Amino acid sequence: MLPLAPWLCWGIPVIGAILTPLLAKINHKVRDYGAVLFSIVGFIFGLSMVPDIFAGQVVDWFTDKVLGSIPYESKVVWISKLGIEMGVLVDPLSVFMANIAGGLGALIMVYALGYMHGDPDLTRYWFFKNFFIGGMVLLVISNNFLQMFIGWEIVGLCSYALIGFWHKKKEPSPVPDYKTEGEYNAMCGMKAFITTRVGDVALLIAILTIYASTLRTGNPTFNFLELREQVEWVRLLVANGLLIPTIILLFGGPVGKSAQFPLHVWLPEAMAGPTTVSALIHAATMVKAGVYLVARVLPIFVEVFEATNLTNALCTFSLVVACIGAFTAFLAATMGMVAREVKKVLAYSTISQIGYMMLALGIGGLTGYVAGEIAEGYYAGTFHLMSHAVFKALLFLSAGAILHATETKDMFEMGGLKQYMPITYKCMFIGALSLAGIPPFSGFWSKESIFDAAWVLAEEAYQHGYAIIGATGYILLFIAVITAAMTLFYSIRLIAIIFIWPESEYIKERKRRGEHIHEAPPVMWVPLAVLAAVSVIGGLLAPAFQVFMLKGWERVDVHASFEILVKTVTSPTIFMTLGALALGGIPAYYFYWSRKIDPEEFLEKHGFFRAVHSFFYNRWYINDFYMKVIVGGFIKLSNAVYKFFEQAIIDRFNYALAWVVRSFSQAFRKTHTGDLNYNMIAAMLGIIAILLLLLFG
Amino acid sequence: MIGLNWYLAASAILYSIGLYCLATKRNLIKMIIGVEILLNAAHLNFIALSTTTAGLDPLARTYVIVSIGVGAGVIALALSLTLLVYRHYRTLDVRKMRRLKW
Amino acid sequence: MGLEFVVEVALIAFLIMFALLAVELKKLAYAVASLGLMSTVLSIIFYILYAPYVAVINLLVYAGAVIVLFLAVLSLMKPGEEEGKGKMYDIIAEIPGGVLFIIIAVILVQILTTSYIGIQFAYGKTLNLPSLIPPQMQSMLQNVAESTWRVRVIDVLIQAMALFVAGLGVAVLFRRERREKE
Repeated sequence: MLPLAPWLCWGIPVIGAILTPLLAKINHKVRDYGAVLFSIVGFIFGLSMVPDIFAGQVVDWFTDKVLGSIPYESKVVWISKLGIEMGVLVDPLSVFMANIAGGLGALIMVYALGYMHGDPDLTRYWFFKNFFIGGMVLLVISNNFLQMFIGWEIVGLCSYALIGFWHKKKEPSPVPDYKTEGEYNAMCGMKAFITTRVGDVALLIAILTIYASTLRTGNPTFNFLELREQVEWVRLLVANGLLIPTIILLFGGPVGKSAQFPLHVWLPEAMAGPTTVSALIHAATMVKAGVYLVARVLPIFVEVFEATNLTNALCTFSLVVACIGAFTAFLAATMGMVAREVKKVLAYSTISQIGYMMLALGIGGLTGYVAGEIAEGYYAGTFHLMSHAVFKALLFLSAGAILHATETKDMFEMGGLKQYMPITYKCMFIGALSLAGIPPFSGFWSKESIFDAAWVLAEEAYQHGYAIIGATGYILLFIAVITAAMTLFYSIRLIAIIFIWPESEYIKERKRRGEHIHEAPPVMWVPLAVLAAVSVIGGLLAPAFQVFMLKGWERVDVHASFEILVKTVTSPTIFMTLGALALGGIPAYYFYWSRKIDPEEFLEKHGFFRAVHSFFYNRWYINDFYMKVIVGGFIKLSNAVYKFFEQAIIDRFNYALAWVVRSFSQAFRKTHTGDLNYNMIAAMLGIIAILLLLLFG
Repeated sequence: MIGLNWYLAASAILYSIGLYCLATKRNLIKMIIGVEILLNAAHLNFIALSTTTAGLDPLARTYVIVSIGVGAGVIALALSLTLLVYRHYRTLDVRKMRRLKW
Repeated sequence: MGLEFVVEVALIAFLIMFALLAVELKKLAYAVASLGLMSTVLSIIFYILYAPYVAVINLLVYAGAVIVLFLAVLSLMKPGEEEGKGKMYDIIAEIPGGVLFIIIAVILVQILTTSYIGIQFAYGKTLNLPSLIPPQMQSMLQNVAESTWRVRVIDVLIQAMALFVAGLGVAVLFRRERREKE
């Protein structure tokens, strides 16, 4: 790797963020290209760490010295007695995530050169974008919980700032609660921040509890590697009955950040930000931070729980992760089937796919519980992370191109764009097929590996005698397959309505006014093409990926071969997948592609489907529930506290205090008669008092 | 020679006469007379206490001499201020000079 | 013995009388003259108390320069007399002053006598105790006496504070009422 690569791959974007306002003073072009350059340089540093993972040891390229073997830590100890340090960890998971963040970040920065061209607030945009990339890489490459939490908070802050980026817009707002669109955007940013905050608090409690436990047992640390090796902290937590709550709270952070149920309500509103922001933060990177955290702690938990004979905790944790993941995937897919806006469909799709990743990691944990091996699920989850990042970014960037060209968000106002934007059409089509899991695109391989992992879990569970877990495995597999069907449904719906349907009135109106719809500029469609290419060949990278991720895992027989691909195709789950694709694809084809059945008429005819449709459209009423019960209730509570406590007690106390002092001083004023004789008396008496004190005191 | 107590008592009575004058009289000149009586009482006290059967205390005498000088200076200053005040207020009644009271 | 006693007591009596006159006389010139006489008597007392230098300086300064100053200032001002003489409410207003005067005199006498005793202790002189007390107990009695007169001081302190508050209140009350009447 290049020297100091782990430090610089997050340091350079942060420095770039800080320098952006300075560059802005010179020239606009300098600022734009400078910001993009910083992120590209950071990515190069990140890339330089990849060969070291394959080699198994870290080699400095400039001095040709071997610095250490994987996992390689480089740290600066701050307070050694408290175990607080700042450090980076070079390890397959962190390098992989850093490259995803850095690579997609750089690509999207290049795209943003075209998309955000001419915006007056670009300095703020570049600052937060670079700061975000730096924060995300810091998050994934940290070697201890505390620093990771710092990165966690940085990405939360940048996400808030970037969602509410256009807070000055003056157009009327899409919902009636706010006056202008600017206010609505600001509200979306705040909603995202506060909802993820709930998860962050849970995560912080968990981190601090683990730290306190390590403090009590005499070796305070936040470090991942050290937590993995020492086991006394687990024993102490179990002795106090705190183990299960702690690890469930630890999962609370990912629930918030990765928009899982029940904290998933912020992601659709977060689409109010610019599309590049949505692509980077809410499709490719920040929402993956939760998945990263679960993937990071899962091996730690496996090792320490095995060492202390507490594998029940591992089972509970994995069960929670898997169930929440599966339920979220199902929930979001149903919502995505009926959404009207392009970006909202993609947002629901993101929530759903991250549910898949959590499901995979949970399955890995459960497999570890029954059979002692988590490699399958772990690998499936992280592979799906990579392929999803690529195709989701592709989809968002294409959506951005479409939004840029047509200036509307509603899908039903588009149509017939196939002839105007051919390159975008092809790229988005590839992305949608990859999302749905159609062979031979990368989405197919990653989804298949998840199903495969679930199948293996079920088999191993029955083999080792855990019948309930086996049944759970089958149920999870079933939910995942149904969700795959729905995924294909809404993907086809998306593509068809935008590109295949005839032109809507809105488009015709625009054409009459002379605003033609043109293809995106090269600076925008070149990243699309790159991402589409990776989506196509991504599946073939699976063997290399397995070698990469599972390097150093002693129990797995790892070698680069195409056996993995063959195994994936020939497992029994392939039939389920094909069945699901048929279940989802055929109705979608009839409704949307060939337009044999009109969806509106269908809804009117069948009341049951209409009710279901309205239920899904209102987001299962979860959002309304939160707003009315939690937010509304809290506001009522604060008003009541204000009225009955603040005004009645505290204000009255203040007034009473002031009244006492004032009346006392009014009374005492009467002694100030201004009369010299009287002053004399007082002076003499004072002297006598002093005399007495001096003589006898 | 009579005992020390007589002189101490005399000093005390003189002191209280001076205080009484300050506390009661309305005329500014009378008040300055009261101050002077106070000072004299203090001097008498010093001298009386410095005359013991064991010997004379020169330090107390010295202090008294200095204090007499200082006291004269104080009275001179007070009288000049009285003059100025009289020019301004046209009266010497202390109770009418209340401009500094809030 | 006898003559010295009478002379000294007479001198002290004159002193106090002249001081009282200086305070009470209505015509300011007479009051100043009385003050001068008082200073002269004081000088004589100083002389008798074996302090000739102090006596002379007192005579020069107080009975000379200060009196002259007074008379000069008096001549520069029109009202040579105290105003508002003899009216009823003035006399009533004098009462709190008089009360205060008595209170302060009592306190001062107390203080000074006890301080005299204290100074005697400080100089190492012992009290004259009756000889019926056996010698072993004399030192203990002395300690007891010492601590009891210390305790008496607290009594004096509390008296002083109570009288302070009372005097203040009375003076304020009277002053306030009088001003209302004006």
